[in-house]
Order: sequence, then C-alpha cells, then structure tokens
Amino acid sequence: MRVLGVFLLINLFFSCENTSFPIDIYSRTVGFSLDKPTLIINPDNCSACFNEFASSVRKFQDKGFNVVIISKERKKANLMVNLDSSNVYYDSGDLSFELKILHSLPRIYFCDHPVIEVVSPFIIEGYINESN
Amino acid sequence: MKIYLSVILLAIYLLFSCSQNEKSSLYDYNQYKIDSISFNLDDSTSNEFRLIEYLDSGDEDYLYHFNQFKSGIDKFSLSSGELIKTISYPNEEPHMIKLVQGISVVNEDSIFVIPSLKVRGMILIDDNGQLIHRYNPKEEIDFEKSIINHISFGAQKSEYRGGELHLIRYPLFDMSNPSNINDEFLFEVTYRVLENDFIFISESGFPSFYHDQIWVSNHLQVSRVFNEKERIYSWNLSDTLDIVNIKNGEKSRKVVKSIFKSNEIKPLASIPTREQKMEYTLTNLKYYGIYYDKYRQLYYRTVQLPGKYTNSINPKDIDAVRDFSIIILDKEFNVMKEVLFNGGIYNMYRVFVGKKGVYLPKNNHMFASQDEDKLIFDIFEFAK
Repeated sequence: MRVLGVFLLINLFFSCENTSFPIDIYSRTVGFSLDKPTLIINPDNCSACFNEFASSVRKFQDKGFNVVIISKERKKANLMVNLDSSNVYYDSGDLSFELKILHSLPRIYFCDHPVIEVVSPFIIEGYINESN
Repeated sequence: MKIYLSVILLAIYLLFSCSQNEKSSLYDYNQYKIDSISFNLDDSTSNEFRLIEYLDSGDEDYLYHFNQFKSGIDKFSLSSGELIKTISYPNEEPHMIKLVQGISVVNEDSIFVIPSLKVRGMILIDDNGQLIHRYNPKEEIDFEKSIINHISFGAQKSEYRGGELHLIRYPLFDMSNPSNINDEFLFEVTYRVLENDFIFISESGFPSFYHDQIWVSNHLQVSRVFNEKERIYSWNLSDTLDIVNIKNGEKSRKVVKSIFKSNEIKPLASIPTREQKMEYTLTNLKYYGIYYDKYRQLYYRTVQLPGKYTNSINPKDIDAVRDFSIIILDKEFNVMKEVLFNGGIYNMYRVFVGKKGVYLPKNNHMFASQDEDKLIFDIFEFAK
C-alpha cells in the first residue's frame, strides 16, 4: 500500500496532466498532449517566422513531434504545415496570448515544463539532430 | 447646482463629440482611390506577400512576389491581376540559398535573389530562372563581421543602381543599451558588384538625438529611398528627412512632421520590460517608410499613429488596427497634404508605388472581409 502511495505521488509529480501551468490548460483546450515535444508558432505575430521557420517546422512535424499553429488565417497556417496531419493542431483563438504561452517568437514546450525560445530555425534543426 | 452639473456634462459631451467628428471627417482617403486590382491566389500562395518588388517594364508593369512554398518568384501582371508565371531559381548545391531574405528586380531578365544575413551566395537570374551569375564577395575571417543583417523588404528594401546593390541592415548588438547608440554603426551598406566589395555609407548612422539614450528598438529603424541624385533617410522618430547628394555628399534636412503628432517622443529612463516595450511601441507615433514616386515627382512618408495599449489584447492585433497616414511631399520635400487612413483594413507595411499610383494591399490580418484566396490592392493617386 505504501509503495502504491509513493508511486501515485511520483506519478502526480511527473504527470503531464498537471493543471497548475498555463501550458497544461492550453494543451487541454487545443487538444494536444505534452507527452511529445511541442512546437508552438504564431506566424501572425512574427512576419519573419513565416518565411524563416516554415521548412524547419515541417521537419519537426515529420519527426513525429507536435506542432501547434496559431493564426487567424487558416490557409496561411496550412501552408506552413499540413493541418490534416495527426500531430498538427490549429488554433485561431487568443488563448495562447491570454495564457502567455508565446510572445512573438516560436517556442518548444516539453512535458516537464522547460521551454526553448526559438530565436532561429537552427534551434529547431539542432533539437531534431540531437534527438536522433 | 443641477444647472452647473448639466452645463459641465454638456460641455464634456460637446468636446468629445467634436473631436470624434473632427477625426472621422479626416478619413478622406477614398477620394484619392482611383482603382483596385485583385490577384487570385492558388493553393500554394499565402496572402502575406512580404517579399515583393514592383517593376515597370514599359508597356506593362508587374509585381514580383517571392513565394517560398513554390521555391520560386511569382510574377503578377498589375493590369490584369493575372499570374503570368512562376520563376524557379537554381536551388541545388552549389547555388542553393537556404533562406531567401529579399529579391531585387532590375528588369525582366535581371532578378537578384538575396540570401539571409549575407550577400555571399546571392544569385542573378533571368526571366526563365536561368542563372546569370553567383556573387561571392570576400568573406571576413571574423564571423560576426561577415554577417550583413540586411532587411531587403518593405520600407527597407534593397535597391540596385549603377552597378551597386544598396542594402539597409540592422545591428546585432543590444539596442536597448544606450552606449551602443552612437554613430559607429552604419545602417546602409553598398555592395559594389564589379569590385566585389562593400562600402559603408557614413551618413547612415544613428542621428545625434538618439545617441546615448534608451529607446525601444522598434523605433530605431531607418527607411531609405533614392531619387535620381539623392538618397533620403527617414528615421522612425525624426520629424525631419535627411537628404544626401550622392555625387558630392552634400547634406540637407527637411522638416516633414505629421499633423497628428501631438507630443515629443521621449527616451526611456531605464531599460524597459517586455510589457513596457510593447506599450511604448504601440502608443507612440512612428514614421515608418519613405517612398519616391518618379512618375509624379512626389514623396510619401507613412506614419503609424498611436494605438491604445492594453495587456489583454495581442499587440499584433493592436498594431494592425492602428490608424495610419501618408504625408505627400512635392519634389522639394514640401508637405502638400497628409491623408489619414482607418486602421484594420490595409497593410501599411506592404505599400509600394507604381505607374498608376500608390498601392495599398488589404492583407491586414484584422480585416474582417478578408478572403485568403484573393489579394486586393487599392490604388491611390494623391497628385490630384
């Protein structure tokens, strides 16, 4: 019984279903799981992102990681990465802003809540290479 | 007491209703609108149209658009709106450009494709996408020195004239550090094609009023345009234009102040937080671009008017609904008029000048009637 208690405690501690972080609220609302690294990008917020990040975003998605595209314009989002893919999530709302999930640059979120601010597409590609 | 209160309330009402009517009567841009042109966008084309170039080719004029999703350059007719062709460029080693930062169209058979952060590797292609030349200026040993963080679009586009490609670059240093704000960094770089080298334009450093002060980097940008004999600089916070004669280097200044500027914009007292930066950026008037209209011998200075900041709305959305104006100047840089536009309709960052007039695209992401498969430009003629 004690072992089970410890297990449950550890499970609670490391669980990706923790509700106290904004990213957890956001992931539940948009429908993705933080079990996988998740790249969140808003091309409306960063016009350079659209040009600069498109190819590395696709590589990230091809790797099987999650991609969340936030945009008021669905076609623009779909050009960046195919919205029909099972690991791609589209968000046209303002929740990411309200929860301060992103500022202007894209970010990669992880299950245990560290965050990588993606100042250049090389960071995405570097992460993909490291995870190989 | 009741009478006094009523009089005060009436006075307040009159004051506010007057100022609102006054402003709405100033939104008179539609009287200058002479035409519209619409592009049908296929499934591989976003309405973003960030990297664009206008070309007057004699009988016809075109808009070139670098389309990363086709790895090519779309060439649109500005008379019919039709996509004439997509020009593919050599994009395999050894000519591969990983990230295209800009294009510069000299004529139909001479299109520069400029890589990001450098000029080395830039290619020149013809109308069929055939490679004419690849440029390899000598590389600096110091990596940081070899970087040319050029902008090459919007009001900071790269321009080819007389064997030279003129680029506006931004610094890589921390612009919120006041000790970096001096006249050492030069914003304009010229790549001399035949000599295969660079010269830095000495008149393109920060104007003295910026020096040693704390500013928000969004207000430290410069737009540059050429006429036949001069280069003209317009800084975000400066009420003047700096004019430099290309031949003899003679400098002059012209006051071109917006009628909507009600207060002087001051530097900050301390390094701003992210939120303070946003507030400063969105609530202060900013001169954005300077454009030359060779057909009418006019200049246009675009001005972003202050927006209302609240931390509960995405700053990009606030920015997109800010009103803006265009100051129209004659050939001597005298202000002729200033035309006020409603925010939330046009994208003032994508203005260009053509034979017919000033083209303003309706690809503002807050424009409610936007259709992502169409891009509409309204054309304005301000000389009338």
